[in-house]
Amino acid sequence: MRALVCSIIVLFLSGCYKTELDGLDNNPFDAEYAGPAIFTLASDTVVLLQNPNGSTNRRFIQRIRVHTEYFLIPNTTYVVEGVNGANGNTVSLLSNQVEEGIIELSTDNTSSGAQYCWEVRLTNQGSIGARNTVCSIADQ
Amino acid sequence: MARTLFISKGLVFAAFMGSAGMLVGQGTGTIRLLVDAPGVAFVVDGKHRMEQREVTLLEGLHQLSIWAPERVVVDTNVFVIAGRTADLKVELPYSEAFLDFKREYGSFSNRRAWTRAVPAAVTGAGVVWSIASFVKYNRAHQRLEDDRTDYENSVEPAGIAALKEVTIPDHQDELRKARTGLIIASGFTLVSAGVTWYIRGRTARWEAPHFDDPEKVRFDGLSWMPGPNGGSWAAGLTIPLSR
Repeated sequence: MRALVCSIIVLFLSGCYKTELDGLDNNPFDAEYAGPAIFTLASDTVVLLQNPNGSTNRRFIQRIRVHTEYFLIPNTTYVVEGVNGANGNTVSLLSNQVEEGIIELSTDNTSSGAQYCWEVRLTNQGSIGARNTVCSIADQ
Repeated sequence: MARTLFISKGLVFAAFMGSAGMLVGQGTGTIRLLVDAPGVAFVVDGKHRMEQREVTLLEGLHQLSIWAPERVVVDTNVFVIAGRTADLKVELPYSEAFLDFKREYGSFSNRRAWTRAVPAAVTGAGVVWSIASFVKYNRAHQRLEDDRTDYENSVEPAGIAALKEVTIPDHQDELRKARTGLIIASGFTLVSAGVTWYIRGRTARWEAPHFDDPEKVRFDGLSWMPGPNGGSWAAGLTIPLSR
């Protein structure tokens, strides 16, 4: 009888300890991803180019690191989309185009001392996962 | 005168020889009782109470009153033949009072068994319900764990969104319901186990019918046997202080 009562009490208490599934936001392919930034600025540089009409094009190149180490499944194929904050242009790069975890996004005709941003998104099969904005100042 | 004396002496001698011849002629025989009941006892000729299965009696007709616990007293006559052993097979029927007691005790036992069995069965059902609820609860929890694995293994944002917006909330809801069911089931079982324990204690204090064998009283009245210290009469007075 005591063993029965103890067993039932254990069952009773076990109904309280199992938690629900909360805080699922650590997958970079989740649009609600809340972990460390997947895209960070690795470096930037300004390249001066000569236009055919003789004017100078200040091309601001931002090298952005893709932190695939945050992927929950390593060696996953993915697509990176970059939306230029200055002109709205969109660039897409497949994972096999990403060399050593770095992508290069460039903005033409930049001004010295101005800040340029890209909203970089991790996508797969047409839908968007983690995203964050990477900004830097074209100060050269 | 001398002749008269001779005749009278002769009569006395004949009487003595006659009586001696009677004594020698009244031998003993043995009766072996074959009775289908334990604890059998009997009274011979309304005087001598005995319990052995074999008894040696003087030749002639004797009256036996045979009794055993729960049985009626059976009176019978036996004729003992000297030098012979005879089997006396007797079937002692159960007394009406014992049969009444047996019915009453059976009724009492049934009532107590049912009174105990119903809450015990409810508790058993509660245990089954609790176990089923526990299994259901574990399954619901396992489904959520599977959802977590699916989430971690998924590389498709649309699939993750569907998982988070539809599948996981449904499974969370199932887990909450299963938890509520488990708590209700185990609480019910605990309460019914308590009731079972309480009723078991109550029924253990129920007074079972007691059998006072009226045939034994009648049989004891057939003879009087002094104890080791002789016999005595006793009377008692009981005052029910508990009321």
